[in-house]
Amino acid sequence: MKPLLIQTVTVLVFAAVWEAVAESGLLFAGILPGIGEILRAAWVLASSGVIFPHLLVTVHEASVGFVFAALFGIALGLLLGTQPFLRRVFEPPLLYFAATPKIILYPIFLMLLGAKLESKMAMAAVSGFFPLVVNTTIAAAGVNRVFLKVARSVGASRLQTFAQIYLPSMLLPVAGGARLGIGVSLVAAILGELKVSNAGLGFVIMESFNHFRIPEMYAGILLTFLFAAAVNVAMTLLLMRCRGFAHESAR
Amino acid sequence: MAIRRGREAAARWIFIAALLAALEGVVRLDWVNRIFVTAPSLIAATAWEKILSGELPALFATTLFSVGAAFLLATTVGLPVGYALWRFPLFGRAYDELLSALFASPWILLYPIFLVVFGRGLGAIIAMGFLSGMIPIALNTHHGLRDVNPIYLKVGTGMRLKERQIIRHILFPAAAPMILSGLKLGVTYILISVIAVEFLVEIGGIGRLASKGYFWFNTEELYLGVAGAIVLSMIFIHLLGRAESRLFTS
Repeated sequence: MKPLLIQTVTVLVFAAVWEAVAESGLLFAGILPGIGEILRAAWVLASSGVIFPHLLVTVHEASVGFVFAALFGIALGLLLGTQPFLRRVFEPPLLYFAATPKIILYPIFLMLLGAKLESKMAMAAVSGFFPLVVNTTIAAAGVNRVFLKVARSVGASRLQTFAQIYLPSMLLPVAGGARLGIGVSLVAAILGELKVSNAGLGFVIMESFNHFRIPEMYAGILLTFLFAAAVNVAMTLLLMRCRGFAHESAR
Repeated sequence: MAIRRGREAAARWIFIAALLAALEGVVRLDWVNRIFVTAPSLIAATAWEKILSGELPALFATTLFSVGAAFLLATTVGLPVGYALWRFPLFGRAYDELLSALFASPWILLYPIFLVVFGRGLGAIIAMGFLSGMIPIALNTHHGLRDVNPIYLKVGTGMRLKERQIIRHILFPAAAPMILSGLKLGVTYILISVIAVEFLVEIGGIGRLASKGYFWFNTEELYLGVAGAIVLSMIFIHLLGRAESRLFTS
C-alpha cells in the first residue's frame, strides 16, 4: 500500500461518513448538509458568477495590503539586519508581536478607516508585515562577511554592494517570507470580511451563515479554501523559479 | 556583555515609553478625535476600574479557561496520534502529509462551521482551539520520535531492554525537545485562535471586550481589550520561551 492510496481512501471514508451522518438525520439537518448539496451550492455560486466580484474584492484588499507589508517589512528588515545594535533592541519585541493574534487590531482599523476596503487592507498589511520583516532581518544579517569585505576592498559603491551582494544572497529567504506573507495577508483580509464588510469572500460566507443558507456557507468556505490553495501552489512554483535563479547567479 | 545587554534593554524601554508618551500627548492636545484614539492613561484608568469591579479578571479567566481546556484536549489527542504515526510508518507518512496540508491551509476560516455545529459558546471556541493546537503537537511528536538516532535504540536492544523500557527510557527522552517545541507551538496557535474567535463572534473573554467596545463606541474599552489580548499573548510567549530554555539548560 502506498501513502497516496491511504490518503485517497481516508478522504473517501471521510466523505462517506459525512454523507451518512448527513442522511441519517442524527444532527439537525441544517447543520450538516450532504456533500452533493454543498457541491451544488458551490456550482451555483461559481457558474452564476455571483462569487467573482467578491473574489476580486478580496484579491484587491489582500494585494494592496501585501504591497504595504512588503515595502515596510523589507525596509525595516534591511535596517535591522545591517545595524546590529538596532537589531538587538527591536528584534525581541518584534518576534513577540509576530506571535499575537493580529485580528484583535481590526476594531481600531474599523474606527480609523471605516468598514469598507481600507480596513481590510490594513489588516492584510499588518499581518503580512511580520513574516517579511523577520525573514528579511535574518537574510540581511546572514550575508557572508567575506563578500562584503571583498566588495569594500574592490571599492564597490553602496548601490553596487546592494545590487551585487545583498540582493542575490537575500533573494531566497525574502521570497520565502513573501510567500508566507501573501498567504497571511489573504487570510487576514478574509477574516476582516467575516467580521464586518459588505463585499468579499468572507462576506459571502457570513451572509449565508446569517440567513441560515448553510449549504451555501459550506460552499463559500470550500471555494475560499480552493482559492487559498491555488495561491499557495502558485507561490510555491514561483519560489522554485527563484531558487533556480539563485543557483544560476551563484555560479 | 551584561552592560551592553542592559543598554539595549534600556533603549527598548525608552522607545516604548516615548511611544506611549507621544500617544498620550497627541490625545491630550486634541490632535486626534478622541472617539478614534484614546490616551494610555485613560486606558489604564479603565483597566483599574474593571480590575476592581472584577470584570477584567473574569474575562482573563474565561480566555485562560478556554486555552487550558483546548490545550488539555489537544495534548491528550495529539501525543497518542503522534506516537501512532511513528509506530505505523506507512500510515505515518500518509497522514503526516494530510495533517501538514491541513495545517498550512487557512483553518481559522472554518470557524463558522464550528459555530453551526457547536453553537455560539465556549464549546465552539474550545473545539476551534483544539483543532489548531492538536495538529502541531501530533506532527512534532511524530517528527521527534522518527528522528531519534537509531543507534540509541540499538544500544537499548543490545542491553536487552524490553520494548516498554526502550520507549520510556530512550525514545521519549531523546524526542523530548521536539515534542516540547510542538507543545509550545500548540499553545501559541490555541491562544491565537481562541482570542480571534472570541473577537470575531463576540463571546468568551478578552477578545469579546474589544469587539464589545467597538460596537458600543466605548473607545477605552476597545483599546483595553486590544491591549489586554496583546499583553496576554506576550506573557504567554515569554513564559513558554523561559520554560523551554530552563528545561534544556539544566
